[in-house]
Amino acid sequence: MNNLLNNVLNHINEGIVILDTNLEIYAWNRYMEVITGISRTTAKNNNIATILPAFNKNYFKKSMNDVINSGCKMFFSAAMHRNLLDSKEYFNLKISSLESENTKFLLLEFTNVTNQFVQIKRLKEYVSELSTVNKKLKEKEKVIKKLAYYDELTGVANRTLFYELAHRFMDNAKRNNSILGLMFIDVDDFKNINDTYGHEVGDKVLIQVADILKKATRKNDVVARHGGDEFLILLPFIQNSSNYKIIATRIINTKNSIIDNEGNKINISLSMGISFYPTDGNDIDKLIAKADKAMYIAKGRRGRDNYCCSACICP
Amino acid sequence: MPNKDIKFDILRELFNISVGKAASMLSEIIDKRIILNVPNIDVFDKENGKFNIYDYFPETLDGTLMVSSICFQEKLSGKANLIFPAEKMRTFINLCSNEEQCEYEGQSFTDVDFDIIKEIGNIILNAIIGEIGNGLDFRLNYTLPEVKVFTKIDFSRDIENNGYDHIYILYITFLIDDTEIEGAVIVDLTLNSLNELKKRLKQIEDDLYE
Repeated sequence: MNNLLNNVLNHINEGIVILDTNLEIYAWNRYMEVITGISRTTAKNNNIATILPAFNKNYFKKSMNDVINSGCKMFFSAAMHRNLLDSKEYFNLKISSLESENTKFLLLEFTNVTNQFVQIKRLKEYVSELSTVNKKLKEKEKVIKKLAYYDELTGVANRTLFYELAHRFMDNAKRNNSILGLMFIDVDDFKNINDTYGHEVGDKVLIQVADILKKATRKNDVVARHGGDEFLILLPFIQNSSNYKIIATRIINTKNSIIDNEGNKINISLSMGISFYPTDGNDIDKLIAKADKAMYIAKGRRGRDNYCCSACICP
Repeated sequence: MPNKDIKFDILRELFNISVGKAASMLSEIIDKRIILNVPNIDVFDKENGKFNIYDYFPETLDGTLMVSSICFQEKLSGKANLIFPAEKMRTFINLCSNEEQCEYEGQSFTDVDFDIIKEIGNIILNAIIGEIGNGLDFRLNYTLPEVKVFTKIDFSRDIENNGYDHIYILYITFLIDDTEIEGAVIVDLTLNSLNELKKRLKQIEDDLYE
């Protein structure tokens, strides 16, 4: 090989190996010397598989023969052939055939793609970190949303969510000429429970009352904590205003069990008032005021667990 | 069309031999069980109208396509494209490189992924075109594959406007471990190449009857 060609090969910034048809090394450029630590004089005239043991694999031998015989070109990726040069770096390999003065040669080009691997690894780590942060943010967003719309103690809707849904149900009732019911519920003698058993037990009572109301209502009804020991229930799409009795009875029946606090049996009683759109007004605050009034009438009655409908109030 | 059927049978046989060899080589490289099959072949002449990919591709070959293409010259001139659905390629690439799939990887591909597809395309397309060359006694000169991602419509336009007259469509099933991928190989040929191919197929057919 003349000097000029040798010089060119030595200046190419990739590994170049030229083999004869016996797969013996004819040329080995300087880049190959640097990346393998094997000098040109050591490599030359040796079989490629002796110098680079990875080439002992059948598929490399077959591929090199195919390239010599059929003139095809072969490509081997660093991702699927990690130890081609027994180096920590990654190389793609291209094999093609050359012909000079009726003699065939094989040209092996090793391209260093280590930077791609390093960058992709960094990128994957970065994306993985972002993905973790994103997951955490989503979880926090859920918590924030819950805090914004749900009562922290009982887990039912808070006033903000109640009003958002109530306006939606009211608009819907106006559009469809349907009845919207609103129930106002108050725990009787709650102050007494707090004073007798303490606020911690009082909180447990409120949690259980919220559970009772959720169990006793329909899937689309909305149970909300109005404040203190007061709860509101929105009853959309009711067929007949007298149907509220079914819900009220279900609440009383569900509540039948006595709340047990470490051996202490606490009897609770609920007073319920109910109002309706359109008969009691066409905005939510009016319905709340009417239901509240009805609830106080129920509370004033004798016995436990009374309910009263706004229609029963004298104007 | 008994004659056409025999020619198709000869071609299908040639293709199945070649993909079998490619499967065996790939299997050795990645050390996993690989089965490749060409269950069916179709041919389309552009003289007969516009090539509509939807008439030829199976439903599973939908969405974004990953296409690995090589060009070949000499007695046969044309272009061969190996086509797989991009959505299946993530699993496929990870199986080939022994990497575990990350949940966020999806259908985004890196240069390293493209190199893997380039190698797979190189092995399969070389085997197919090489086998046609060997079977028909033609020596062909061909390029290394280039890998591109297409939408189905863009790929259909690419085939329509590439200047070749005839299209062979090979339906290909690829089984790697327990993952099955349906793909296709489209071989575009010039009219001269098709005539050369037909001539050689006729000779092989005549030899069968002798």
